[in-house]
Amino acid sequence: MEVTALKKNYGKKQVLKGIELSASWGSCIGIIGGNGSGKSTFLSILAGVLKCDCGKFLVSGENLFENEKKRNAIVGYVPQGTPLIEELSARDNLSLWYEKDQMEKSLENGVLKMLGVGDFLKTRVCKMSGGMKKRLSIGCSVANNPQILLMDEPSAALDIVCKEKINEYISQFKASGGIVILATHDAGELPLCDNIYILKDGVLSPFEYDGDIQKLARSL
Amino acid sequence: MKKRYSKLQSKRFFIRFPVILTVIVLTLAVALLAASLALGSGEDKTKKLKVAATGDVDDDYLQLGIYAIQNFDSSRFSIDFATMSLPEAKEALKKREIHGYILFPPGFTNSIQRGENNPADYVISKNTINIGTALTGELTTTISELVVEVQRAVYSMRTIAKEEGIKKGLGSRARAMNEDIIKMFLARDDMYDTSIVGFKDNLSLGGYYVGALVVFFLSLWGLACCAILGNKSRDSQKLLKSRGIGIPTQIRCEFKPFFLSCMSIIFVGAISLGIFIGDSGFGISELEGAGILEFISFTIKIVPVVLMMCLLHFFIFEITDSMVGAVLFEIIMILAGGYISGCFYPNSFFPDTIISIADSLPLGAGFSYIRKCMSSSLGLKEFLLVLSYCAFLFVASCLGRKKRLESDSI
Repeated sequence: MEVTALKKNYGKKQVLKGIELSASWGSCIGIIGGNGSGKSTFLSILAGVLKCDCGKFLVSGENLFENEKKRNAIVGYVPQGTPLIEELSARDNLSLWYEKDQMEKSLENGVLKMLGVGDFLKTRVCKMSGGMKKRLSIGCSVANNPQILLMDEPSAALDIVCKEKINEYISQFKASGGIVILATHDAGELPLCDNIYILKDGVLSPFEYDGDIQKLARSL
Repeated sequence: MKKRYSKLQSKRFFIRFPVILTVIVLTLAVALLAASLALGSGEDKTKKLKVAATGDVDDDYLQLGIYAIQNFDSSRFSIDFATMSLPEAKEALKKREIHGYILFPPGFTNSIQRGENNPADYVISKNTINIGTALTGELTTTISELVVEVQRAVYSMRTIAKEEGIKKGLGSRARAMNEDIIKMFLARDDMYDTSIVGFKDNLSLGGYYVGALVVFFLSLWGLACCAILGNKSRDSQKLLKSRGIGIPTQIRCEFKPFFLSCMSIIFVGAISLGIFIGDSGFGISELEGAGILEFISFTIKIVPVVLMMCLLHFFIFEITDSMVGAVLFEIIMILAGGYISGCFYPNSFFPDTIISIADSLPLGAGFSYIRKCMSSSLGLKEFLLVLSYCAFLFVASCLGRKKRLESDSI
């Protein structure tokens, strides 16, 4: 996967000034940045939610910005919040993203089983805890069996148990040959990442993380 | 996936529907009560103007004239005469117990005998200047001139009778002649004819408020559904977009149950009215004799207005940041828009420019459309205006959501 010369302006403000990024299959890329640095914008562009002003998103040589269908098929996107319909149950929410057979299979021995979503299928979203909502959100987002997973602060405001479950899923996704691009504020997620980048002033710069959080904070 | 999303949005609506219906029923009940009170006070079949006759009123012929007006009068605005002294009349006018008083000057009937026209004065207060004043003024002139002409005729008859030596039965003959001539002259139906043309578009007061009630219900619909419209998951919208379900498709899927449930309530209401209203039409001329088919036909005719109003609510909730902001916006729209477009009170007293502007705004355009449907005078202009608003509001909602998603993604 390769991202080249990606630019995005909001009016006169240049949010992304020529992002360059590459990743190989079976890797996890961590992107850290301050609030408003453009992490969510970057992931939204790759996911197809926003359009960039220029740039390419190459996967196996093909520009996914020009092939929406293929992008929808191979890119999974876990937004920062919870993409769920509050009034409905977990099962109803899953039924939006999964075909019926596909959902049953996944609940039996797929990603939904791994995330433990089967434990609260009948619970309405408005009655769920934050951790349950997040697990369900990830379950919904990966319904298309993506090869590239974009995650925007997946474990924000979650308890340790839930964070562990999500980290376990990320590791498994990576191990199965997929690419994870993880925008995070959580230092606990950084060990999962093979490469870490800092997004600052619209530019992505590699960062060697040795566990020193203060050094990381000074770089932001 | 589009179908599944549409189905889930409908299910979502279905879950919230009991609460939505309760809000609508309660608010409409209050509105209906207010409307029936307004109708009850505005639909007096016989409006009598209370007028006092004062001054030189003792003469028999004058009394006959007053009697004639009170009993031969067949026009809608009849005058209720009460004889009283001048101080009493002034006091009653101050207290607004009478509309005005006619002051017959001293020697009124004597001047008639001399063939002179000594006209009576009609005195009113500033507060009572209206069409009734003009009519009563005309009547005063009529009484004055009529009595003069009649008495000229009667005195001429008496003079001739005396010259011919006829003395017997002069009194009764004079009275009979007075009555006959007054009847001939005082053909009130010919003097003037008042008929209520209607507040707007030839509708009766009741018909006008029926249309206003429909607009009021449509305005309330967004407020009643605020829990659904205001509770949208932006992340869900982002994920849908990333999976190829674009913004226009998302909005169509979310809008469909919102619009269809509104239409279904209107349909059920129309059918119920058709069954229970009977021939009386609750005293509203536009509803008299209307059956189920007429009500269903009306409901079908107003589909563009329902569509426009639903899109307006959708648009408001799409562009506002929070539920509170959207609800406030809705309330302001209902109150200000409803007032200026004449839903609460006929806006005919506004300047023409304001009325034109109000009729061009969505609520006013919708109300105008409904009124014209009721009076069967709907034109292409109103239809196109409503359709234009539908198109504009749909596009604006899409742009609003696009802007919202962009700002959320920063």
